[in-house]
Order: sequence, then structure tokens, then C-alpha cells
Amino acid sequence: MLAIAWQYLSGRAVATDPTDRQTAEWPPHPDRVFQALVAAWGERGCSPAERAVLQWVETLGPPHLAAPDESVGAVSRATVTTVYVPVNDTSGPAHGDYHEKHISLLPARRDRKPRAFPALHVGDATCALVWPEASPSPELRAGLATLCAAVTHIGHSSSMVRLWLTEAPPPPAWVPATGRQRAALSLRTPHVGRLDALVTAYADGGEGWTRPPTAPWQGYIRAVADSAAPHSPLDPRLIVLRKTSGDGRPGLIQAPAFVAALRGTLLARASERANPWISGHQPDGSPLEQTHVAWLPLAYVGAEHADGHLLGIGIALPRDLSPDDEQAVLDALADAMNPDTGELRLVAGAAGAMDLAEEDRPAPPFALRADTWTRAADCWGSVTPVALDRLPPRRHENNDAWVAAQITAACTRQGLPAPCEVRILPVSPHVGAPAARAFPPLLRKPDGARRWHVHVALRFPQPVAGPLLLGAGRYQGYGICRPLPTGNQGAGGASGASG
Amino acid sequence: MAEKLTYTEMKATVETGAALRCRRRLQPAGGPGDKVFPPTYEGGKYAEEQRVIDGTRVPCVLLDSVQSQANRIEMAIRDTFYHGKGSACGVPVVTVDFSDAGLPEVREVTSLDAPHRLADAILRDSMLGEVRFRAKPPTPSSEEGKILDTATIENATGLFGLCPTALVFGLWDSTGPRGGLGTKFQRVLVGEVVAIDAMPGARPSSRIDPLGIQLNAGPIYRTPDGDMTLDPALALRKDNKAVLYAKGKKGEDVTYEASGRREVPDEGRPSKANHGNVTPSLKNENGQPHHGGVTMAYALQTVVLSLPALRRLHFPVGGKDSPAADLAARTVLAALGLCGAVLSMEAGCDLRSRCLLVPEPGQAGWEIVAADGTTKAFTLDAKGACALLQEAVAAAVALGLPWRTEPLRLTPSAGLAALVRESRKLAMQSGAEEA
Repeated sequence: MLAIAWQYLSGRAVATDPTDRQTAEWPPHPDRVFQALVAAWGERGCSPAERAVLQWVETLGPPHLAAPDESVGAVSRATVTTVYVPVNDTSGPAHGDYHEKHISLLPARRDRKPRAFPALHVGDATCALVWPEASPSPELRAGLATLCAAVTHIGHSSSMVRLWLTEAPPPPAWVPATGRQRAALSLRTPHVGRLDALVTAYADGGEGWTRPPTAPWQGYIRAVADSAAPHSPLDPRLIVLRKTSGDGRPGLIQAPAFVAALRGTLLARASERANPWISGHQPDGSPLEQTHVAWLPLAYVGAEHADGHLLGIGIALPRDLSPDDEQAVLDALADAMNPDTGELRLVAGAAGAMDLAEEDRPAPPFALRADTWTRAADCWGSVTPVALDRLPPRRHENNDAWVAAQITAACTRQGLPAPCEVRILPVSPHVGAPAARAFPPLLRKPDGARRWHVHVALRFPQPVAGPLLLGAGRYQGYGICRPLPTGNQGAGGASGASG
Repeated sequence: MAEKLTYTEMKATVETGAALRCRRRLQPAGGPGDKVFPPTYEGGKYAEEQRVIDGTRVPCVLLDSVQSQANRIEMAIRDTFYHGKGSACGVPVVTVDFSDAGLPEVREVTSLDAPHRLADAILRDSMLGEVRFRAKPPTPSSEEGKILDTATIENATGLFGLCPTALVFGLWDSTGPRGGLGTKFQRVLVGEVVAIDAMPGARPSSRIDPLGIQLNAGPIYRTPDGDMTLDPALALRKDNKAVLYAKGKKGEDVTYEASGRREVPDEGRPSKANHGNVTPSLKNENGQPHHGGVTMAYALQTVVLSLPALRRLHFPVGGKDSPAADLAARTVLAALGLCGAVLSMEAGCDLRSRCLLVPEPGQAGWEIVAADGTTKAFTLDAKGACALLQEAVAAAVALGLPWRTEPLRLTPSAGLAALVRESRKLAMQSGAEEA
């Protein structure tokens, strides 16, 4: 393994996004680090031994990237202000006397041009580039260590860094997308020939000297933490679609209607390969045994003034989906979107219409971040009520205990540990989500009977990673759970201990 | 208890360390909780950001930017080591001397004052004796001026002796003979002050007129001399009517006849001549609230001096590479940067009106950051820093490195001096017109 780590010495990263010069660039692109290493080589005499080291680094391919995550607030952007910088290209007369127009030579009257210095606050966090498969020889490692110690800055000259080789890098946040995996982010990475391209550009002078050519872009996906924590059978990398416009302000009560509309829209465009995964049925009509695509209505809940209005819908794919099947499902989603606007229109009958677009902002609202619904936690609470598979037997002494047993069975069926505490509640433990009674009932297919649904608050013996969907309606927007901050007592309800 | 930094320790750090860093907390001079005023940018906005500290989101505001801190450190170096015409100086400086041009208020512009430091257009176009300091060929340039044209990281000796602050703060000769490919040295010192946990305040604006001039005491008219009068007979006339004192929105003259019930236009009110009361208000004439400063938990000042950046510079002596001279020169530059930062801190953080900051007691702040990340605290006061610099300079000079003790005095050409006089006149005139 080879890992290059760095820290920003003044806690600030100053690097401009080349596609938008008013925005700071984060996460740091691997090619920036490579360029810093090349600068350290070039400004210290261009030694051939170190050149060989750099050429070897080029052959390693795109690295894993560990960097603090902007979407959870570990990195914050400063407002980009326009700074007026004095110019230096005024001049006196080539010969003869000064003229009035040369007055702009004086400092007080110097012309100023607007410039922006976009920056981010990173603090003391360590970032790293990791190549897990690389195994450098001791000479290469020593040469690279010397180069790292000579790097002064990454990005603008005021974002000074300390760079070093490490055996214990922080866990990667981004890994290169392979094959047909859908990239969430594109980063510029070094490749074979990059060193020569930079050397040629520098020697030419002109455009290549002031701004080096950009490296090709490589797709990256979020790394899934390889922890031993128990997890749901769904992939935590949700595809988040946010609401851009629509009729009124639909809440969670209208969520099942919109989920059905989204499912229908995708089914209409699904290929044969994608159809079972989206519909949940085999071609012959029998239900699919494996976990299939699930839909999460994402609403504003949990905060002091939350009102449960819908902010978007998330799509969760099964964890063990093959790349081809995953591509088929994503193709269906892409087909459903309007190619000009990038938006998907859902029409859900009485609930109205809604336009959805893919969420690609670096710092979206908490409800639209996958992390909010999927991070490992031991306490979970339902946002939409959990629909029960069966009705309780008549004249049952302790309905709540029976329901708790059903919920426990639902958890263990998914491969999760049995919860040590299950509380059945008429209202959701999350502020803003409607009470169970307010939701439209799910109907059982065979006889049209209404399923019971209840809100629950669960405590597992150890943290469990989401997305956590429980109960009969979990593929239709029911039973969506969200981590609870520990210590939340919920509202009333008898607690039922499970076996 | 952190120890004082010695020359030997600093030299060893310059050879292998990663950085010298200071992080210290400041409070307003009026006590914690007093309001301070950050710099405003275009549109009257502050440079805000949100940081996550201990798990909570904390709003922060920039109190002094990287560029502004660099300027302050340069001013501190100038004020300590260079006191004007006729004084020797402890740090090589190039200065353009305007004192003989008959302008008492503009005395000189040094390489520490000029916007682009040594590469600035003012220095470029000034004269060293009979020769232009740096001229375009075929016009001859001075020998010292040519140093800047040929300085590179492999040979920074000339620049070291002429103007070492250029190597500390960075320099880009983008308008010299090689244009955009001109001499470029990156900065070695970066500083910043940020207010942590900043809450915005409000600021009213108002005025009580000591003369008690009333709003309706007007209208005031403009005389042909540009002066103010209440008598329409003495006023400038346009279309047979008297012209009011202030100009209209597009700069046009506004006329008014006293007869008739027409209300006096704004241009005739005494407030246009800066008389009369101003009603207290929290918003300006565009409806925007006045920027009202911030109160903060504390201000964090961070200063970083990068040692790998110094290690990239080479200082051959007599045409020959010399590692000992390299290390000595780099130590001088580190001492110079450190000295400037310490002097600027001890001079007090008076950033702007109503933004005077003082350090919280009991913090040393400075630390050596080693290549492996470990830190070691040290203390340094102004006297110690200057002594360190002297010791480092003596060691460097002993190895044959150049170091001017006399400032290099350039003179503005006659035309430039006349230009400065002209600009003063223009400034006064335009100031009067805006009133």
C-alpha cells in the first residue's frame, strides 16, 4: 500500500474550480497533488532519480481519496468576495515627459481589477491519496518521501500544506468507479505521460506556463465503509431526487401516491432486465424473493419546526445487484428524465404533480443527504408507519407485545440483529411526521383488507447501518426509518420487550 | 513552559522542519463581547463562512485577509528597520525619494509600500542617478535593476542582497522584459485573522447640527463660484431661473422659482451642503441596513511560515554553489519573516476603525511544526526576534552573501514629481465636487 497524506497548515484550502472561477474546488483532485510533487521536483533541480519516482507514480492509476466530507459539514465554504487588486501594467512614458494620463502610476490612483480568491475552511483534518495495491521498492519510497517533504502548497500558494508518506491513512471517502458503475463525482487524476506533458508545457512558455493543461477526468463513487456493522440489504448509496417544483406542498401523507407514480414511471421505461427489480415481480407474476429497488420519500422531519413536507424521493438499490442489472435500472431512470431539463415529472392523481431532478449540490439540506438515512445508529424511529404482515389474533391480551414480535421478526428476516427494545407508538418519534392514523391504509392484495400500521421506535444492541425499511409496505414508501438521536423518548406508548 | 527560540535551533528547523506557525486568540480591546467591524467587500457585505467546531455549526467572519496581513507585516518591518531619509537600515530596502520634489506629505515609496513590491511600476520608472532603474532595452538599465531580471530560484543571491523581503512575501515581475514569464517567487508567509462565532450587529447613523439649521431654512442656491447662497439674485442662472446648490441625479443643474407652491426639490435642501440634522435610522438611502459590525467569541490569528518554500531557494556565492551559504541565507529569510510577524503582532492589531484586537493573556502561540507533524512550542518577543535576525545576518554576511545596509535610493523623474503634485490638486478638486 502507498498512501500520501497531507494537512493544510493554516486550516484553509484555496483552490479554484477550473470550470467556475468563482467557486472553490473540493474535494482536492489527485492531479493537484501530483502537480505539487512535480513542482517540488522541478524547483529543486529536476533530479533524474526523482523523475523516475514520478514516472512510477503515474503508472499507479487513480487513487482512493480520503478527504473530509463537505456534505456533512466537515468542510465549509467561505463567501466568495470580490477583491480589487492593484495592477502593475501601467507605465511611464518610454521617453519624454510624463503626461497626465500617467497619473495612474501612483499607488493611490492605481487601477484595480476585480479578483476572487475562493477558499474553504478544512481545519486540521488529514487528507490522503491511497493506492492499496501499490508496493514501492525502498528506493522509490525514500525518493517519494523526500519529494513529499519538499511540497509547499496544493492549489493557491496561500494554502500551505505539509505532505508525508503514511502507513495508516484515514479511511477513503471516494474510490474510482470501475466498469459500469455510476460515478457520483469526477476528479482529475494523474496518468502515464502527465509528467512529460507538464514539462513540455512549462518549457514552451506562454499559455502552458501560466496555466498547465488539465488532466483527464476520472469518475469516482463514494466508498462504502467496510465495517463489520450489521447493515440492511439495501445499498447506502441512495440515488436522491429532489423536488424542484410542483403543485402545493405535499407531505408524507401524499408520499405513497408519489412513490407509486415514480415506480410506474420507471416501469413504463424499464427493459426486461430491469423490470423484476423495479416491479418486484418475476416475469411470470410471482413475487421476487430477493430484495429489490425500494423508494424512500424524503421529508423535512426531526427539526424543531419541521412540518413533514416532501423534499424529494430517494431510490435505494439492493446491495448485491450485478453491474448490468444496476445499469438497466439506471437506464430506466435516465429514460424517464426529460433530456433538456434533466427533470422527471410525476403525476399522482389527487396529490398533484411534482418535478424531480437529481440532487448534485455539494451541501444539500439534511433530509436530502444519503448519510441522514443510512448512517449507522443503534436507535431508529419510523417516519412513515410500518405496515404489519398479519392482523393480530382476536381477543389478544397484549397487542403491543405481539406487534413488537412482528417487528423483531421483520428485522431478523432482513439479516439485522434482533432489537433489544421495541416501542409501539401512535405517532412518529420524529417531529413533523404525521401520526399513523393519518396515513392511507395499505390494502392486502388477496382480499382487499386493510393492513394495520404503527409507528415504532427501535433500539438495537449495536449500531446498524441503513437504509432501514421495515414491514409489508417497505417497497411502497411505508416503514421508512431514520436514526434517532439517543435519548429521545418519543411520545407515550407502552414499550414491549421482545424475546 | 515554552522556551525562547535560539539561532541554532532555528537553523536546524530551517534545514529539516515543515513550518513555523502561530495560532493565537484575540479579543476586542473593549473587552470580550464588544463589537468589532470586519472589512466590507463589494455591496457592503462581510466575508462570512460557517465552520464546524466541536460538532456545532459556528458562523465566522474574516477580519483580516491574507493580503492585508502581508501588508501589515511589511509595514511593521518598514517602521522598525527604516525610518526615512538619512537613516541606515537593518533590512535592505529600495526606496523612491519624493522629498526633493516639494511635496511634504509624500516623502517616499519603498519596496515595502509599493503595491507590487520590488517589481512595481513606480520603482521601475524611477532613476538611479542618471540611469533608469529598470528600462526596456535598448535604453540602459541600472546594474541593480538587472538583478531582478535575472533572479531565479537557482540564483537568488542578488535579490537577497537587494531586497530580501521580496523573497519572503513573494514577487512576480509580470510586466518586465519577459512579460508573464518573468521572475516569480512564491510567498513564504501567510497570515489571517478570523472572528469565530460572530453575531452581526446593527448600527444607526445620525447627526445633530450644532448650528441648529432647520430643514426648511433653504432653499440654497449655487453662485457662479460654486459657493452657497440664500439669495436667488446672486445665484447662477439657467433658463432665467436660479440654479439650486446640488446637482441632480444625472449631474444636471436643477432650477427653482420661489414663487408658487411647489415644494423645494432635494437639491436645494441645506443637507446638500452638509448642514442640518440627520434623523437616526438603521437603513441607508437604498433601504439596506447599515453594516453594523459583529460580536464574536474570539478572533483567531494564524500565521504560517513555510520552510520547504525557503529550501527551494539557492544562493550561490561567487558563482559557486554553497550549501552552507544556502542554509545561512534561508535562515536569514526565516528570521526576517518571523521578525516581521512578531513586530506586527506587538505593534497591536489595530485593523481598522473600531477593530482593535488584543491577545488573550497567557498564550505563547508560536510552534515549530516538524516534518513528521509533531509540534514544539517556543516564545519570541520583538527584541528576541530582532536579535535573531541580526545574528542570522552576521552569519550570512560572514559566508560572503551580500546585504545592503544603506537603502537604495531612487529619485522620481521630474515628470513623475509633477504628476504627484497634479494628482494632489485633482484629489482636492474632486473631493469638493462630490460634497
